[in-house]
Amino acid sequence: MHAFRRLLLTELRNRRNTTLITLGATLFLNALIMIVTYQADLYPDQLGFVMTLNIVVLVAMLLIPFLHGFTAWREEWKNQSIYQLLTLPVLRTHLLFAKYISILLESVLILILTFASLWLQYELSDGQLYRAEPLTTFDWSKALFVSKLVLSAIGIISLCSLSILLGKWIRKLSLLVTFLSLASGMLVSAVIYATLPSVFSLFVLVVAFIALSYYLLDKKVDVS
Amino acid sequence: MEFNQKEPIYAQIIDDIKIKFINGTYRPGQEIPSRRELAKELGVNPNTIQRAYREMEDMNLIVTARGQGSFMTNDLYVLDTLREEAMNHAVSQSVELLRSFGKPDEEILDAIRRYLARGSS
Amino acid sequence: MIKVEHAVKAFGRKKVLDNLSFVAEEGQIVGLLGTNGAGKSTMLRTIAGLLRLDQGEITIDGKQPNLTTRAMINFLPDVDVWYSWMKLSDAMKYMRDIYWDWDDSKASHLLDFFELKPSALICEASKGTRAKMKLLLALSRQAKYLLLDEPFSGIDPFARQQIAQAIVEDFVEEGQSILITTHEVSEVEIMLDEVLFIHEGKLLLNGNVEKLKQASNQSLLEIVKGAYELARV
Repeated sequence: MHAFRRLLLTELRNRRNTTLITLGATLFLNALIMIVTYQADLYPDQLGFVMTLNIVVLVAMLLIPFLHGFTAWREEWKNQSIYQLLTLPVLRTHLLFAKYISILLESVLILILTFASLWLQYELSDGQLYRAEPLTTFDWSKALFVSKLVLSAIGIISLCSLSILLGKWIRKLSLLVTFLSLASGMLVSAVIYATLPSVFSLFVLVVAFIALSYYLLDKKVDVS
Repeated sequence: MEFNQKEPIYAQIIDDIKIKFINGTYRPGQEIPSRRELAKELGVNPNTIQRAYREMEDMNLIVTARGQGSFMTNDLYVLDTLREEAMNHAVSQSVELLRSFGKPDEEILDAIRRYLARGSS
Repeated sequence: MIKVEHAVKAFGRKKVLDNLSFVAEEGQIVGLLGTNGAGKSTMLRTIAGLLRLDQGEITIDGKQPNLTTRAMINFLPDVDVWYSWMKLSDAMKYMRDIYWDWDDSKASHLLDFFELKPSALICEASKGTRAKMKLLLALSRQAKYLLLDEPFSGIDPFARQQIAQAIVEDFVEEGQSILITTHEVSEVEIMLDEVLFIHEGKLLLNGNVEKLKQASNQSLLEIVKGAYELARV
């Protein structure tokens, strides 16, 4: 456990500066939105514009952890620290999960800031910005929905690492391989989910991506 | 100590200790560095040092007491034999060299006498 | 004991390891010598578990390279692997947490011996200092097998001497098995038990250094050159 904790801390420290900048940008952009909300005449379409802004900013900010899913591994190769990682007496799964957790953590921090901002905007708009009750009441279908979102997030992260590792295994045209793997992975997931829209199918997809990533990292990838 | 690259190291170590014994740097019965100390000091593989010490023990040049270190032999006969050997070796080398120049034995002997007559410089 | 049997490894069409077989006994310092690109680094990396052979088998104490063998082995690559923000103290903390056999007293002894500062950034240090830092991080463990890939490469003679001395001192104390790759024959000559000379993936020479010298009365470099010439014929 010592080892995993150290791996994770190192992972977070690697990303410390970029994460701080990302969070700073999130704060800044959300502050701008709050100013708009405060000054907006409370016409419904103006508020609609504010909600669009919120969504755009959130998606843009979440792109950064998404890209991190790729760069986390590319950096290890570029920095040549992959030599270190692969000779460590730790399970390859530790290596994968340390990266996943650091990306999830970054995303969660962004979400927390965004939720705080949305709550403030709600107050500023005297409750006009959106209906709050659906968010504050609890029922099982909402819990299910949230768990589906979480699983999808993990799925996307593991698909990113799978694609990058595939690219590293097949050296020629590695960037193309990564892109194709990502695209086809998303397509396959969409098809499977459309056919069986349940938590279970998402779970299976996530496990498959992680297992394949593990297999590639342990058995296939060569450090030249 | 400088090593030449052609001879095995263990042989060079033995020769070095022999010379030190003959010229008095190591007295009979004096403690010499342990195998480990010598290995560390010279940066030489301890297995090599081990071989040197074993051969020296076989020659009765040194004595290693378990847990007490290694010592030059107290046997003065060994010291005398070594001195004899060293002298004979030096003599034969010089003489053969001079013979190979074509110098007759008479001249060689005269040259040695003249050199000795000069005393120590 | 590390046993390599008929190892074959190709990168693309080039055979970097060509039916290479040898045994590295325990408690010995083995030198892998060879020209650039001869396959020495590749061999070491395969033993460390970074690469897989196309054919052939490697066993470390009878096991294939896996999690257990990785714990027994300490691999010092010829490239720099530490993150750019890491100070020497960060790297030491890292090693201490991940490896159970980290020895703090050894580490402080080497800090003094190499005259290193724990607060120094690894990536900003000079080449010689970096090499000493890397060696400190490797020697402060008590691993059974030490794989050093070009530990002397590109370093000034004084630093090289210090590094050589640290390696021998550690070997005298610990008696672990060491595999060193280098092209600096003269640097390692006096510390080697066995020598393996590899050229284009093939083993051209294999033997005990002292015995080889005794048999031929030549320097190791000359012996190795002889084997090279013979192979070219």
